[in-house]
Amino acid sequence: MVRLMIARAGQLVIYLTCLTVVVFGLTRLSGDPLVLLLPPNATQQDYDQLARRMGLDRPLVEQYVVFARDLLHGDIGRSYKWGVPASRLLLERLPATLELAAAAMGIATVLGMSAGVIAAIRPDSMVDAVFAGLALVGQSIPVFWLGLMLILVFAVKWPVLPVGGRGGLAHLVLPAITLSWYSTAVVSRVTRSSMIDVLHSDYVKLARIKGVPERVVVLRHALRNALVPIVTVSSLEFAILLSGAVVTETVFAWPGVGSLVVEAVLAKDYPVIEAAVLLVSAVFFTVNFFTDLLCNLIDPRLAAGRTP
Amino acid sequence: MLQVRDLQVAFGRGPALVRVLNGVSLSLRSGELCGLVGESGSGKTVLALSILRLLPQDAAIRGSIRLGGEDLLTASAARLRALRGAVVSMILQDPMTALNPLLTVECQVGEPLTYHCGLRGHLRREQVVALLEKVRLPGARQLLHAYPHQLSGGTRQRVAAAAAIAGGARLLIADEPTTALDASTQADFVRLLHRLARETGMAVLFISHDLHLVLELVKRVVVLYAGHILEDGPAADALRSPKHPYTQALAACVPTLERRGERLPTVGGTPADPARLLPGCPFAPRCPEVAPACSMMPPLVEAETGHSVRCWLRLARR
Repeated sequence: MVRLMIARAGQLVIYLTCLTVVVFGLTRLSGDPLVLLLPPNATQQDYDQLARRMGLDRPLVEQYVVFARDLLHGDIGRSYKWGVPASRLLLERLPATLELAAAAMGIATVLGMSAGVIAAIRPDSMVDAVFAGLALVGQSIPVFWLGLMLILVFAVKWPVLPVGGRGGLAHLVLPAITLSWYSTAVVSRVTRSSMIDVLHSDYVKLARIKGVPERVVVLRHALRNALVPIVTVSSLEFAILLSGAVVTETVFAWPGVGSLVVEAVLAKDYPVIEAAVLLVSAVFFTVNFFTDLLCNLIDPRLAAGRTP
Repeated sequence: MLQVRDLQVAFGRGPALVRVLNGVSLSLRSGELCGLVGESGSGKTVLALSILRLLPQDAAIRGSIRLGGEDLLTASAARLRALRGAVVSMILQDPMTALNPLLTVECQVGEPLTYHCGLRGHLRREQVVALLEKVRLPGARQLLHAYPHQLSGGTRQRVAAAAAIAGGARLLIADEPTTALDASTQADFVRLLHRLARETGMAVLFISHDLHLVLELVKRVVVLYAGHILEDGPAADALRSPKHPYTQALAACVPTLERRGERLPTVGGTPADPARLLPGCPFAPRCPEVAPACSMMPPLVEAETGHSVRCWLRLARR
């Protein structure tokens, strides 16, 4: 476990260094923020002056060194558009995204895993076919359309839930369902195929031979063994949800990281974009790390450094 | 204690129908050690899984299986669960896959104790230790918290055996339990089965493709070929005076010291494919003594007391 952590820390350093270069380079390629910041009637003199003040007149390498040095001091720069530190902007939006992602992931794991297990117990049955159909629909419906339809039905036609914005639990219901839809489908399909493999294994047969009740066979013997791929896929889904559900947040006017990123990209707000990308990669890294820990806890062979 | 009558098992439907067992009848008395010999695809494992009612759902079963007077084909799922592990149990072929990789030895051996005997906690642990000692595992107490990947193949198979007999089964089906083990471990394991059978008085149905190995354990051998029983008789006769040409061919394959240096004989031809069986004796296409009558199925007839054979030639010679 300790070795895993040290190895991961080393990887993190290399990975973050490469990442800052890519993030820095890509944002610089995306266009000129000064044109958007200056009024339409600005002169060349105004332009040069602003460029100098923001350090954008320096060579790119020098800009990068300044960016990296400030980053090491925990300063990612001020937003061009709002004039406040980019990190503060993101951290203000983070709780909303966390709340939405956690709710959506909760729905996806509970519904997806239940559906997957039920389908795997009776493969090719009616129930399995219905779940397969639902999963196909779940994976093919565009998120924005689903969000709009839910709003239309549950907020406009029968106004039982709010149209958008963030507030109490009622505000969370529609966006969480919308966001979880795709992930539920993915989790249920992975659970089904992983469970079917495991249910055919010899050790499940031995459990039945021993007269273990079917419920215990499915949950203790089969599901635990099927869990590693499920956990891996679910946490990947969770990382994607955490890094900002751009479409869902936009449809429901949810004040999260996703909608902030959209605004920042439109404004060519370099520091905010850079901060957002770094945050997303940190999220992925953290989630991956905890996934590894979790898989190690589930499977003693992984902890022993063997492949199962 | 076990009576299998005219058991027929088929998989699939219509033209894809494969008959794996074609009217198998087999009885075991309590405490009897019986060997079931046959090539791959002869239906040995299907017979074993039929007795445990653990065949896949698409299998069609006809005939009757009675265990201690109880009809297993009409028994409820709950009743079957109560019987499995407690009355009839099984050891699987491959010890590398038969144990759950995520559960400790204590949990896996102890499960039948929980679900059949209601034992928990400390009492269950002591019983698990006793079982591990019963299968001759040294350092039983240290094994309790071990996971299967930390154990060798032979140890794993002993753990699987301990789990199989934990519920006090009266009939143990051992489905090629030594095939995946190396030669010296094989002999040890057969000796262990022998000792367990003697100590517990349980009946053992020992399934193998290795006639020689079976004879070390059992008093009676049943020869299965393409879902038909070809011969059923005392183990001593199987090597010395086999009746069916197939058993003779199998017996000839056993290496002996007298024939050292000679080429080992094999059974000619290829094993019957249950998906493409012709009417008549299933062994006829490979039989060195094939006769015109063999295009019709011979009955299984008791040629001597306690020794039945399914062959026209042996019937004629009687």
